[in-house]
Order: sequence, then C-alpha cells, then structure tokens
Amino acid sequence: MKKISLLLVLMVSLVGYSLAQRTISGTITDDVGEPLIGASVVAKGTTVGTITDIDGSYSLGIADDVNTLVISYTGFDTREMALGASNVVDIVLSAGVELNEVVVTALGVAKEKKALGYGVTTVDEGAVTNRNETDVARILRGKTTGVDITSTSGLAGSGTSIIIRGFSSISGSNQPLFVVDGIPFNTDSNTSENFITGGAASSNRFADLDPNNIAEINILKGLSATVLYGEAGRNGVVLVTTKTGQTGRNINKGMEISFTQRVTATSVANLPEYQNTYGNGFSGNFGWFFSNWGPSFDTRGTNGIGEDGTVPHPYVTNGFADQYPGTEFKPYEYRPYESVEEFFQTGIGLNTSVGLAKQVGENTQVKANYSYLRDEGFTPDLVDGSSSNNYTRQNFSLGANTKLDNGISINGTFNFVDSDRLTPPIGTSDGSGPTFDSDPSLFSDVLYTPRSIDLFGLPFQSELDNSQTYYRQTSQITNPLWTLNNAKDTEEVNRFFGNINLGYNFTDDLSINYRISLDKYTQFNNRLLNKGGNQFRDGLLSSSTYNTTIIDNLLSLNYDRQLNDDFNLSLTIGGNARKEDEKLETINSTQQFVYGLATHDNYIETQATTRNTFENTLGIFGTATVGYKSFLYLGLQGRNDFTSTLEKENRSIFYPSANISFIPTEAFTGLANNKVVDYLKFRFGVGTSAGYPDPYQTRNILSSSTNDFQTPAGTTINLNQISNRLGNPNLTHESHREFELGVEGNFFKNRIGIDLSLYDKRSSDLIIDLDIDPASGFRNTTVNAAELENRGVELGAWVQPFKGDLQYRLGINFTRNRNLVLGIADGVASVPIAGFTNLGNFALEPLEISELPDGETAADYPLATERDGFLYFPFATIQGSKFERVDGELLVTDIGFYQATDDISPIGDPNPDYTISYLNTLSYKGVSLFVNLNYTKGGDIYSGTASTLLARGNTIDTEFDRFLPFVLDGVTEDGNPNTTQVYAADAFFEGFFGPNEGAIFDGTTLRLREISLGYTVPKNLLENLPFGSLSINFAAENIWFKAFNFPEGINFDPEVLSVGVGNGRGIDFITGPTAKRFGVSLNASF
Amino acid sequence: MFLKKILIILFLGAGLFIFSCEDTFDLDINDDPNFPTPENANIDALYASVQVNFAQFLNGSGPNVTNLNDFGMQLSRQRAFTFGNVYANSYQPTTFDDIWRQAYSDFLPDADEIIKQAEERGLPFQGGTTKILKAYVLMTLVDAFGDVPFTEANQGADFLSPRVDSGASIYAAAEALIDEGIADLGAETISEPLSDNFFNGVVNDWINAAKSLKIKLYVTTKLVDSGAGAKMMAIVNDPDYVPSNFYFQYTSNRANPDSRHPFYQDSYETVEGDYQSNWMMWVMSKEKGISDPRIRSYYYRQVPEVPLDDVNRFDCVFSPLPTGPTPQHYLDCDPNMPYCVGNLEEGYYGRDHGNNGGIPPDGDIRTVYGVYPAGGKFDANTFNDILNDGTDGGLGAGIQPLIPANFIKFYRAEAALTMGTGEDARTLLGEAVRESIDNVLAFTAETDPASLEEVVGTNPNTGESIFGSQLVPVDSTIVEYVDEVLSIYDAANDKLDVVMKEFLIASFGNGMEGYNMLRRTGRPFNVQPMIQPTSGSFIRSALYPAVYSTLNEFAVDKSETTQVFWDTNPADFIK
Repeated sequence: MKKISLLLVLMVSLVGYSLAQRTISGTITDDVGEPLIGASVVAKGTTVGTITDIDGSYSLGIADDVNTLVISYTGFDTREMALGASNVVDIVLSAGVELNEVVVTALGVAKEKKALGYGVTTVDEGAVTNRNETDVARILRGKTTGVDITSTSGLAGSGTSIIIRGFSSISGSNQPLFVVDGIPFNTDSNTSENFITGGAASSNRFADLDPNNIAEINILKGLSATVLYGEAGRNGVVLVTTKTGQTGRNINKGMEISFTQRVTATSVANLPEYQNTYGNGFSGNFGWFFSNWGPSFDTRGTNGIGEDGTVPHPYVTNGFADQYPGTEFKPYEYRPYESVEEFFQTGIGLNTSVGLAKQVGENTQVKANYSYLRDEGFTPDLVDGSSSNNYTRQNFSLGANTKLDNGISINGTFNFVDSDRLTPPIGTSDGSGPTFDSDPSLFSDVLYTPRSIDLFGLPFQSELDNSQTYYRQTSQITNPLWTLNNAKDTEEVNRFFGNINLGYNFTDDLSINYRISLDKYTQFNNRLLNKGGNQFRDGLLSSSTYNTTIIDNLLSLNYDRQLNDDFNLSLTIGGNARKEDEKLETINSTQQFVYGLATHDNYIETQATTRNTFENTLGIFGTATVGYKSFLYLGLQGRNDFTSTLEKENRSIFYPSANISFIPTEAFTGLANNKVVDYLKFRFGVGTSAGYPDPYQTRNILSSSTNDFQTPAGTTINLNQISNRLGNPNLTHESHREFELGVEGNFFKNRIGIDLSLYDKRSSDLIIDLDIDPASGFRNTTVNAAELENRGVELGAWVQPFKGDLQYRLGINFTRNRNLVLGIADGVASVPIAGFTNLGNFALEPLEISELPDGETAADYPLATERDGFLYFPFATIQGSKFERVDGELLVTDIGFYQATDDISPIGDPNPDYTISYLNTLSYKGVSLFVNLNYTKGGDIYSGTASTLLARGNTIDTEFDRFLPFVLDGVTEDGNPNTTQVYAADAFFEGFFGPNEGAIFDGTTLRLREISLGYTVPKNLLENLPFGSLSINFAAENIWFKAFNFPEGINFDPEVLSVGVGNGRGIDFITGPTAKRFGVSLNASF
Repeated sequence: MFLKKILIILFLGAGLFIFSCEDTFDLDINDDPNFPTPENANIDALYASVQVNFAQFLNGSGPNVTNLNDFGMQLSRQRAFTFGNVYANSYQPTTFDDIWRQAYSDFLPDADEIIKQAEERGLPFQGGTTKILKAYVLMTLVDAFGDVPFTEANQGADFLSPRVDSGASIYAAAEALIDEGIADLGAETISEPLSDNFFNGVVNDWINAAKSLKIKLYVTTKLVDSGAGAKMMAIVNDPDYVPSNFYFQYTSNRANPDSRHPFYQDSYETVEGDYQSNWMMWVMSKEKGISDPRIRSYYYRQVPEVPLDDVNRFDCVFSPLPTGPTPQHYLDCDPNMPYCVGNLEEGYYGRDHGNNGGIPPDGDIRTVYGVYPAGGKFDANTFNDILNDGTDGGLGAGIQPLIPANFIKFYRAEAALTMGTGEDARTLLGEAVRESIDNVLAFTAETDPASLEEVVGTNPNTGESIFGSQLVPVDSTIVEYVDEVLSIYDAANDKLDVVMKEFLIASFGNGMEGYNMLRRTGRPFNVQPMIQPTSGSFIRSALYPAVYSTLNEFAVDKSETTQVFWDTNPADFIK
C-alpha cells in the first residue's frame, strides 16, 4: 500500500513554504526501522509542510512559534510531536488503521478505499513471492475471501481453477478476467485433450505470470466493482500489477538490483496406506487379476501358491517371455512389494530471478526483470535419467515510465514468456484401466497395483518390438513404466504481452489517457505415443498449435474536482475496442512407422484440422463518483457493449451499476473517539453484467469430413452431413445482477478488524448448450434459458493482540457461498456440465414439491434446498447411479448384493458448506513465521481412487480376515432384513464398483496449506556489506491434510479435478495424487 | 501552445486507436469460417453419408458403441447377454442414446435432404435407394422402441420436442416409402452415385431388396394384419422378383478410415472382445448330435477344449467350475441345457444368458467371432491367439446381413405354417437351411482364403498335410445336416419351433431379426433362461433413450415390458 500512496503523494506534490526561521530535520521510520517515503510533515496550525524523501528524511523550515509537528502517513497512526530545543526530530510511526488506504479499481484507477461501495481484496507482494508454487493462483489459495481456487492435478505445470463468488454460468467460462498492468490477459486452458484423455493435466495461461515480478494483486469480486470491464469482468477481475509495470515505485538510492534464488522439492502429497497381508487374486485364490483379493502372504501350497511360496512368473503364464529371448523368468516370490511407494520420487525445482530498477532524473524510471524457473514433478525419471514431468519458464519484462517536457506522460511494459512443459499423459481411469482405449494414462492403474506385483522387477518393454509387457496380458493395463517412457505430452508457449499508455493533464482536473495493449501467444502442444501400448496400439502423434491474440484499445477522459467544501466529483468517460482471435491447427497422425521417432512423416496416416474464431467487442463507458465531505460517497457506472458473437438485433447491451459508501465514524466524530470503535464503514452496491456466447452459435453449418469410410472397391468416401447443431439466430446475452452489502470496521485501538460482505447474485438468460431430443433432427443448440443464484457471506477478520518487537496477527477468511440452480429450460430436467453423461456434474431443474412422484417427499432429496414449494439443487450436483432402496433401506438382491438404480439421480453436492482459512503471522524483529491453515467443510467428491482401492482390496481398510462371510446391511425385495452371506471381496467389489453412489465421499478437509519462515537480516548488520537487503525464507506447501470422511487407509486428497479447469468440480477419475512442496529462497538487493 | 498539446494527444490517441483496430469495428462476422454452409452440400458426399450412417445406426460406429444389432443379438441369444442379471436393470435409458442420435440426427436429416435434392435434380437412384433405407430405419425404430416420433420429427426449431406417432402408422408410411423407392428405381435414366456399399450400383438388386423388405414387413405384422399373407404372396409370385442378398459391406481397411466390421474391431485387436452365447454355440455344436456346417464360419475357438486347470478363469455363478451341477431352472428348460460354457469338450467358451459377473482372466480361451459375418478367421483347428492388432482372417471385411436371400425362404416357411399362404413349409425349410449354409460357406471362401490355404496339421496315417479347406464342410455333410433338420421337423409337435430355431441360426449377425422372431412367435422354446432364476419379464421393447425421455417435453413413459404394435402375444410369452 505504501507504494501506491507514494504515487499519489508525488502527483499531488504537496509542498508548502513560509519564511524559515528554524529548520527541523529528521527521519521518519516505521516500527521496524524502515524509512517511510512520502510521509507528510506539517507544522501544526499552519499550511507549512513537506514530505519525506526516498530515505525517509525531511527538512522543514518553520516559524518560531510553531511548537508541534503533525506527521501523517497513509496506513499509519497520525502522530503529533512536540518540538523541543533540538532541530533534529526522528519520528517512529506505528502502523495503524488503513483509513485512507488506496486501492486499485477497475481500469487501473486508484481510489481511496473508503469511497468504494463494494469490496476489493488486495494481496500484496509479501503474500505472493517466495513461494514454491509456480502459478500465481495456487499461491493465493486461502488468502482472500470469496475466491475458490482448485488445482486440477499435482503435476508440474498443471492447471488451476479460480471461481469468484460461485459459478454464474453453465456453459460459459466462470474463470475471472486477468488484467496485468492494464493488459487483458488471456488465461484460457487450451487443450486438444478432453477430460477423458488427459485434460486434467492441461495448463492455464495465467501460468505465464512470474510470481517474482508481482507487486500487488487486487481482486474485484462483485459486479458493481467490475462493470467497467463489461462482460469480460462478469466473473470477477484479478488485477495484477507487476513490478516492472508499476509506476511511481520506490526505488532505493535511485538504483536497485534485486536477486532471488529458490530451490524447491516436490513430492507426492500422500499415498494410500497399503496392507501387506493379502496379494493379487480374487475370491482368495491367486490369479493375475486387477484386484488384490488373493490369498494371504503366508499361504503355502494352496489357492494357487506353490509350496515354496512362489507363483509362476507372469511372463511365463501369459506368453510375454517370448519378448525377451534368452531371459529365464523364474517363479516369483509371492510377497508384498512396495511398487507404488517406489513409483513416486521427489522432483527438484530451481528459480532464479533478477530485477533491476533505475530512477532517471525526477520523471523517468526504467525497470527490468528476468526470471528462470525449472520445476520438476513427482513422477519417476525416464530410463535415460531425464525427468518425465517438468515445467521450464523464462520471463523477460521491461517497463519504463516517463513524462515528456510537453507534459505527455508515457509508460509501457513489454513482457516475453517462453515456457516448456513435459508431462506424461494422465487420462481418466474407471478403476479397470483407462476409461477408453483412446485414453493413455500414467496413473490409470498405478495406485491399485496389487501388492504382490513387483512393478520394478518386471521388464516393461519387449526386446523384440518395444511393445509393452506387464503381469496381465490382453488387458487394458499398460505397464505404467512403459507409458512413462513411451508417452509424453509437451507444451511450448511463446507469449508476448505489453502495452503503451499515453496520458496528458489538460488541467489539474482534466486528463486524457489512451492505452493500447497486446497479448499474443503461440501454444504448441504435442502428444507422442509410441506404438506397442494397449492404447493406440499402432502409435499416435497429435499436435496442435494455438495462435491467440487480444488487442485492446482504451481511451478515457477523466475529470476530478473538489466542487466546494462539501462536494467532490470525479467523472470518467471512455471507449474500449477489443479484438480476440484464436487460430488453431491440429495434426493427428496414427500408425507409427519406425518406433520412437516423433515426426509426422514417420506415421502412415495423417489428418489435419483448422479452427479459427474471431470475436470483436466495442464498448463505451462512463462513471461518476460524488463525495460528500469525507463520509458519504455515491458511485454511478455504466457501460454499453456491442458484440460480434450475436446477430445484429441482439448486439447492444447496457449495464449500469451504483454504489454507496457511508463512514459513520467520519460523519459523527463522537463515534470514533472511544475505546471500542475506531472506524466503521457501510457500503451497498448493485451491479449488472452480461455474458456473450462463443462465436458462431447463431447460424447453421454443414459438417464436412474426409476419409470416413471405404467402399468394397477401395474408394475412400468423404462425407457431407447436415450438422447436428441447430443454430439459434435469436440468441441473446446472459444477464447477471448482484446486490452487495458490506461492513468494514476496526475496533479496540485497531487490534481487531472486520470486513464483511453479503451478496446476492442472480444470473439469468444463461446460455446453455442445450441437448435437444435428436428426434428434432439436431442434437444440440444454444439457448438462453437457465437461471442461477449465488448468495454468500465473505468475512475477513483479523486480530492483532500485541504489537511491538514481537507481533502476532491472526487473519481469518471465511467464505460461504450457496450456488443454486433456479431453472434450466422448459421441459429439461438436467444439463450436463462436466464428466460423463451418466456420471458427472449437472445443473438440475428445480422440482415442485406438490408434483413429486407418488410416495416421494422433500426428504427424499437431501441435496436440495427447499424454498417456496420448490426444491432447488446446487450447481454442479453430481449425478450417477444410486443404490436401489426399499422404503429408504438399501435393497439387497437374492444373491446378497446391492443393486444400482437404472437411471441417474443426484448423489452428491460438490459445493463446500464453507471454507475458512487461518492466516497466522508471528514476527519477531527480522524473523517471521507464517502459517496458513485451511478448513473446508463439506463438498462431496466422487472419488474413483478411493472406491477402486476399496473395491480392489489394496489398503489397510480391507486388511481383515477375508474368509469371514459378510452380510450386507439392507433389506430384501420384500422388506425383510438381508441374511444372505457373501464373500468379503465380492461385497467390496460390488459395493464400490456397483452404484456410483458408493464412490461419493464427503470432502471435509483440514489442511496445512502453507508454512513459511523468513529471516530478514537487520539493516545495521548490512552496513558494511554491499546488500540493500538480505533475507532467507523457508516455505512449505500442502504438507499435511486430513480428509476426515474418507476411510483411513485411502489418504486421499480431495483437492483434485479430473475434469480439468472448467465448470465441473468434485470429480476424481484417478488422474493422480496432489503434490506437496518444500523450498528455500534467498533474496538480496544491492 | 496549449492547443498544440491537445492536438498532439488527440492525434496520437485517435490515430493509434483507429489504425490498430480497423477490423476491430467489424461486428458482422457471424458465419463460421471453419465449415461450409448447408447450401454448398456435395450430393455424392451427402449420399455416402446416408449409407455410412445407416450402417452405424444398425451396427454402431465402432466397438463398444451400443447399437440395435447388439441389443437384438443379446436378447435373442445370438450373443451373450452380460449387462445385467435381471432384465429390468440390464439396459439403462442412456444405453439407447446413440441409437436415437444416429437414427434421427445423423441418418434421417441427410436422407431427407437427399430425397429432396434427388427430386429437384433428377437423381432417382439416390432418391429411391435412400427411401428404401429410410423405410428400413423407420421399421427398425418401431421394432425396437414401439411408438416413436415421425411426423413431427426432423423439423428443427419448429418441433424441438416432436411427439410420437403410432408404430402402425409409421409402418404404413414405411410401406409407402418402399413403394415410392421401387417406383423411383424404375425410372429410365439412372445416374449412379460415387459409392454404394450395398449393391455397388446395381439397380435391380436394389429393387429386389425393396421387395424383400416388404415381405419382411408383412411377416412382422402378421399378428395385426390378416391380409399380410396375401400381400406377401403377391410379391413371392411376382416373376421379376429374385431375392438379392441385402447386405451392407464392410472392408478390410484398418485405419483412416477404419471401415471394418465392428465385431472384428471388437475381437481382433488388442483387448478381449464380447462374450459369445453359450447357448448358441451349444445349439450349433451339440444339440443335434451333429455339428452345424456353419459353426467354423461363425465362431473361432482359441482352445480345442475348455481347460479346467485354473478356477480363476470361470465365473459360473453357481459353481466354481463349469462341470456343474447345472442349475435346476436350466434343466427344467432343457435337460441338456449348457451351463457356464457352450461346449466343454470342443472348446466353445462363452457366457450364460444374464451372467453379468466380473471379468476373469479368460481372454486366452474365449471363443470369438469367426469369418461370418464379422470378416474374422475361419476355425480350422488352429487355436491361435487372435489379438494380433487386426491381422487375422478376413481382416474385418465382413457384412451386416439385412435380408439375405435365404431369409425369404424362412419367412415363407413361417408364413406357410401361420399365415395360411398354402406353401409347403417343410420344403421351404430345407431349401432355406441349404441356402443359408451355401451362402455362409461361399462368403467364407471369398473372405478368408488364407485360412483355407493354411496347413493346419498332418494326417498321422499318410503324413500328408491337412489344409484348412479340408475342414470346410463338404456337400454330403451339408445334406446330412439338412436331412437331420428335416427329420427333427418331422418328429416335432411344434413345427414352427423347428423353423424358428433354424432361422435364428441363419440370421446370426442380424440381432433385430432374432429379437423380432422371439416376440412374434415365442420360438424357439428352449432358449437359455437368465442365469438368475428370478430375473423378471423379458424385454418386449427397448426403453426410450434418455435423450428422448429427458429432453423431449412431450416424452411419454413406457417400460421395457411394453409391447410394440405388431406384438399382440401374451405378457409372459418369452423367457
């Protein structure tokens, strides 16, 4: 905050003078001795004053009769200092209530926080730098209210989903707009893989941001805060200010070099606790099954185990021995092997960052930043010793700002990012190998490897033809080590983003600004799959190139004037033009010719596609803020957009917003001067926004494809087909509106603070990709139909029980959001959101209680919320098959097992009841300890990992005497209690692989998100050294978690998202565990 | 001075603004640049799409895609039924989604467009054949689901939720369409399409296929149309009518495009394929005491006898090994009913009807599809592993049998017994079986010559090589078989039962034919019951697909026991 404030102070240039009869000088510092730059020093009772310079020093000539100095600084308690005889007065200010805190709002305009009628969250540099995570979003987890951040996978470079104030669109994106130094920043998650074939590991393009270069992040959550961004801001806006893009930054001594070096170790967050009593087999007999229901390890001479405790070598029984001529495969010891434990390893990451900043004269600054990152994941190294999962990124940033003699100010930033990513493919698995044959996956079978399989003792690649070999022949299990060494996804990104701003102040009140910004990247993805695996047996090479450009122009005219003693008026009007192009070319080649060579010409069949989309948006906007005295503010904003994605008559959309801020502690001084209340603000805002469809939804097309079929004579047939999508010329925009109410306050001499927001957001006319009855001739169309509601509470609170050398601050961020579907479309019961059509996330039409089927009551729908005679379902309700029930009791069939329902029904609500983070900061002199503890209450997850481990008998949860019969709880068809005995393995197998409901677990989790311990070397120790500052920081992330409602041995981290970044949640299709990270970083400035 | 500054600003600002985004202001860019518009359709490509979509509707677009052929084969015991152990929960509404999509949103829109354009441009071949295929699709939809959308279907935004029409009215419309198709094909000038995977452009074969389709229609509706027999005989007695082998032909092309029979894709690549029906294999290998001459073409065995050394290989439900005991409800149905395997001694290993248990490691012993109709491998006692990346046998150049010529004889035999057509059922049965066998063996010789030329063993007495072709049944074996069938017929109390069993064997690969036959006649009687003794009522029609029942606001409900309009048989007519 200091830095922005300084900017203002410099601009306002508050310098007074009088006849000097006495000159007082000194230094103003904060509690820990840091100089305060730009602090105001005023002789009390006069207009004489000055501000401190870059070293915190001031010098002020005052009249003799002045006996008190008033020293004030944004964010600090104002202090009055009586003058004695000495002309040197050093003053220490203590951090106080940030009454006049300035925050960055829409379009980068800095405003006093108290004037805002909506909530804004600021995360400063300290909370972002020195972390091991390489992606900014993951670093923000738990640090703000109202923002829900989920990583998709533990792999290096994988994507992250950010949802602010709930999902407000069903088919459209719910990810917020990123604006970096004013540049609308594309954060798409581009992937040529769908969720089945490995979308969970795809990256987001905000990964291109270098956390080392971030100065500040402001998050605009509500619609009244984001209205000036038009529809692009409907999901919230993340405003990122980089160090190189920041103007008016404090540069010590006119020149500063900063250096950061970090080393990070990444390992798997947790593995299941495996049992070591039983091995591979089924029904207690040994066999090369997927399952671990074989005989116990002390079995000798029965159930398929030899007298000497061995079993035949699998390669002898399944014929793979032929693939290794000359190798003798001896019988195999039947005992537990730690195959899974040995599978994962620790990846080492490095990050070097150098920053340079130079103040040139009074008006010019030049800044540069370079960062090199190499991050390795926890998957095993390849046989050649190289890493199988890594992410390398170089960021180049250059920024400069200056003011020309003619009064024009110019600033700009130029950033180039070059990144490379390598991951093994991680497609989904249904617990019996990959879900589909087209779905190579490293993790599909690893975690449930039977205990008696010695993964590392079995050669995985044929010596004859390089095909895979594993314990089970002719099955979908491809040896994971073969997949590791023969399948890889690579991604290369070259990205440029930059802007140029021109500004001119006509008068003190009136200024004009123009900015052009460009964000352009090329993303090249490649999937190589050598021939010889069970998925794409003949090999695959699939390449896609995304070429994406956003050009954004913004012209604005600003007017800001103190009209009289009471009223202040600020106005902005402007125009915005944005052009977004995306060009995609893909090449798919199949049938590899020479093993191992990854060129398209080494494949026999090749197909290519082109997909180009173009989207233009024009907007005009205006905003007015009227301030009355310093306690009442009214803000009015509006924007009108014109989009190219709709037909002419629906193109123009106007969105207004209004907000009010009232500060009673300023209005009634009596309120503030007591021991309880220091500051109190009430705010109220209403905002609107829209959402546009993707391009090309309004008109019909003809689908055309080549190489579709062959005639018996060998002619290859190309097809034209009437497209399955029905164009909707009447499509219009989505509408969102939100009411927001807030209270901010500081109490007990600024030892306790709260910032509470309540909001109610209604999203209607939502564009859905509506599946229609194919009997209409079309499978889907795009319509405006659905309606969603988000109601939530965001409470940020902090307590600072003691200050001084030893400081402790507890920050609490509480977020609760209720995200309900208020309607979909006439006659439509559900719209799939993510996952499979018979298992995944859905938006469900509300049910009218009076029209429920016979015998059903509201109690039969525990996931729904009852209101006004209707049952409303949460957004993204998980649907799948349920256990068949008789009068509420589980039905057991006459052979003793549960039965799945025919069709799908709601089985889980993936939305957490609430999340709460505890941010503990303890500091003593230069040592600072930060502990971030997160608790997520509720939120169901369909966990394929957990259900498979249970169904297949791998973990300690199934380490019981398996020969005792099981009688499943439940009733038979006639309602009598079940008495049929079944074998334990069958009970678990049927129970967890039967109805999908068996795989639903409550996701309540307590997590030690982050610990960091830093030490900053005190200034006095650095005096004889070349450093301006020196610090060392240890950080660890995701080091411990406990998911209370999972069986003990599963150790499953619910924070995964197998459907990738999108609108799904609470879905785990065995796409791998999460990661934990430890690291140390050294920071120095010169 | 001040003015100059303003000018500089305005010039820089406005200039850049306009220059940088001249095309940014263009909002009229709604046509998708990636696809042609419907006005640009290529008629050959559209016609090809009608044919390919027809095959995909019936037989799926690849392995593991549910389709009506599989559905019918499973219910009629032509293939193992493994999705459930009670009828009611074996198929979910979503199972049928793809079928519905392929019929209504893939096949029919293109077919209607072709019919329209054929009229406008004077293309009677394309128009006529498309009408015949459309009639087949409409009839099959009714056979599967009963009442389905028709008059309001395929009209886009006008009827997003089309209402169903009665099955009878759709059948009537189909009959009319066939007649129109025949009339179109009688036109003087015929312009052939670029591709025809049915009859390679031979007009007369198409006309005969259309007439065969009408016979099928009349036999199917015999319970609700007393005039069906006479209508059928009018065609039979038409001197121009020579039944053609109405097939869709797949090819051996493995990739880009994969044009092989889905059965072959399913069983001859890398992953174990479908289970075969134990009952069907028993019927063909054991029931009569002599082997069916078609069995080596229908099935390929991987083992000469089912090995009993590894109990893990079996999921028999009622005993660890297939050696028994056979469950009582099986014996009640037929004292020789196979249990757990099709034929232990001869290596026919499949699954019992309704065994939905887990999949044991039995891939190496499963009997798989043979050369007919899948285009797989002829069983010449070679007992090889067949998961060889699609390199075995006929390479998938199979057929989807629709109405092979021999079906007409079976229809006529059935009609003679039940529709009062006055023909001799016994003679027709004998001819039908003979024609079916000849047809299968001819297809075998043509499709998998390599297996016939292969040396498959040595005669221990003479030391001479035995070739695969020596295992192809010779004429005397065939005659012996036909005679056996006829003697069973003569001895039978229920003659129709014998005819229908032979028809079920002959129609192998056309599941809907077998399923229709069961519902129409209740025969053959001794089909294998569900492995669970209490397994509910037989599925009399497919559940409506989820894409209809959940997306159509006028969707009507029905259960799997609802009978289609031509099925007036009693409720618990079939096991």
